[in-house]
Amino acid sequence: MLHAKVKLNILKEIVDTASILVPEAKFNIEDNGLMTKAVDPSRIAMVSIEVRKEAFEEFEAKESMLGIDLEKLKETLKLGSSEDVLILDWDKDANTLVLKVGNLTRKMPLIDAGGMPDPKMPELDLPAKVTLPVEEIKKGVAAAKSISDNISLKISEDGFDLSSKAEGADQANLHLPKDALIDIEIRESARSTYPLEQFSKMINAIKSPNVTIRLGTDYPLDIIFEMANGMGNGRYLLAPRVENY
Amino acid sequence: MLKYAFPRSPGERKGFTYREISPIVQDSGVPSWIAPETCIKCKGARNMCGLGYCPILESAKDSFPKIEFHGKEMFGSSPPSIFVGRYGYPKVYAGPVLPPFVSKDVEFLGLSSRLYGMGITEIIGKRGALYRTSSIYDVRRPKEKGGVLEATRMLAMAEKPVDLEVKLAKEVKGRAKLDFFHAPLGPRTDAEKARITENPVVPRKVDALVEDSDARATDAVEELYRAGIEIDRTQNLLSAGLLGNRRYRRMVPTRWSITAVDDMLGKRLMEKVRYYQEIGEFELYENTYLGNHFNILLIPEEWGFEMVEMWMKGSYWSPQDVTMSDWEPFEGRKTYAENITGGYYAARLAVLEHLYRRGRSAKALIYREISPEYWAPLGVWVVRETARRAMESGPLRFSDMESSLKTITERVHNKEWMKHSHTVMELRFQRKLSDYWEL
Repeated sequence: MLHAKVKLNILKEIVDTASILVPEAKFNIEDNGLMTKAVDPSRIAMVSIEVRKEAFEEFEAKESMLGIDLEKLKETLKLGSSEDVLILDWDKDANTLVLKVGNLTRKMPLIDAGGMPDPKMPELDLPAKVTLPVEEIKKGVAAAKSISDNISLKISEDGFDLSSKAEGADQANLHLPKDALIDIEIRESARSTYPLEQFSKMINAIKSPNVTIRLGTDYPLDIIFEMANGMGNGRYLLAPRVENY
Repeated sequence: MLKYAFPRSPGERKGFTYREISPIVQDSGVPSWIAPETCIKCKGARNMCGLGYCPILESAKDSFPKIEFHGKEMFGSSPPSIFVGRYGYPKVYAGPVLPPFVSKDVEFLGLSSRLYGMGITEIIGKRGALYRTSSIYDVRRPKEKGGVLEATRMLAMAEKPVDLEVKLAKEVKGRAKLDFFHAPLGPRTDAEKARITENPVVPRKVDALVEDSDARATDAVEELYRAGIEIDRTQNLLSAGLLGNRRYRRMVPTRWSITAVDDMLGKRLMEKVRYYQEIGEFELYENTYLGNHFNILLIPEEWGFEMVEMWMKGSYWSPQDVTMSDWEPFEGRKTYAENITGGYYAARLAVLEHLYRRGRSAKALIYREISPEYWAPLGVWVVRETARRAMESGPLRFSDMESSLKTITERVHNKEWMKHSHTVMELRFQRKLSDYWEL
């Protein structure tokens, strides 16, 4: 059972965060909020979202699972403006999600969530961690785009580095010294290379001003950020590219 | 009446090696400042050299003998087949395609699945005897009572060869025309009138979809495909402006309609194939036809497609070895595959048909090597049919990627082909989360 009122921009944030990786997702609804986890089809990236009930204007729910077509939901969200309050109802018998924006009602069939996987997200033991403004990373990503399909991340005693290199002399490097970072914790320095396209999609989907990056050497990347004005959190994992196979 | 001799391929003469077989490129008069990649990307279709005509296609034309038709009344059996030109779009030449004789044995000329297996000379010879009789029409008005256009529309709907009478404006002299997208065709001539002299047999499904003024063209194309209508017939129907929502019906130049149909069907099959279970092993398929050597590797991963193509030195478009590639990820592509062009969509369809039949999903990597033996372009159907036959052959199975790639490398001329493949680089360097923990 689900009955919720939520600001359109918050629902949009949830949908956008997941939809860069998957066209549909399974949402687990509990009485204190909702959560979802999904792996992209190529299994190189993963997203996890948890939003507490405080992020909603109203939230009444009992444990349930909803399989939602994110592309359809996205289209519906275009019908209102960001400050509109949306009413969500789950009609269990018809297996539809009913959305009301102002005078508009949109009924949406749900996807069978039973067949959708519940990916595991282990606790990762990563040796380096930084917290910094998302805007800084965006600059580094924009610079890398014209150069290569890959981007390298490095955390060391000197600070945080984002770099990319082409076969010729083209190169871009964004260096953030320690005092430009909000926080840094290092056990040992770490460096890995990631596919730029996915990394850039993730960074651009993040709405919160700051982001925490946890890094290992040739190991998946962990990006942690706040959602829904601090009333939820999101996480992306991304598998690295390893030069010597 | 008909003065026509089959052109002799230089390969039939004695003592010729591959390099010499392709006189076309050497003497084509392509200015030296035009990079060979330009011709391969353009394939005579996009005027990328800026000359306004294609020197390669023009000089190919010259190597075929002139054919002539004396008299102004042509009576013949269409396979059935039609032609819609693209020069002057949206006002284009459109009309029936027919040989100047009546016969019930012309059906194979309109079916690429039955052209498969013939030699280049035979195909050019037989298809080159099909005259394109046409008049100028506006593609936005694909309707007209009587006249050439009505006959054209009836031909597009017919299932079996149809006899018709065409009144020509003048006697015909000309040569066979080659094109990268469609099979070779004979000379074009102005038609004044066309009259079908029998009642053509129209499959019920075709009739229903032509009458259906609401169905979208994509849906109509898919329905025809599912009803087992040959893809060449569907192309004719789309080309004649007989499919789709009535408000948006247009005639579509033959060349465009071929790739349009391959793309539409590919997209439909992809929607299904994406969600099928992935295959368990690497599977390698192979087939060679007229110097087109296909190695098709199915990879046990999520759906994705890449085609790498090498035009060997002396092959049709190229005075030197040129390798190119186009690919798409799981979600599909939004831009035209401009390196490989039409062949990309034809090969993709062939692979998808195979996966769909099996109810399995895989990532596909095609490496096509074109040797000088393919000395004249015969149309995209060569790619589609060769790839289809490859997928019907029994595959070699491998448990790891490197040994399957090695097998391809052993078979082909360009030992460096892998460097051009996005998929190979991705497989080698990109890790998956499942490599680190169980998802």
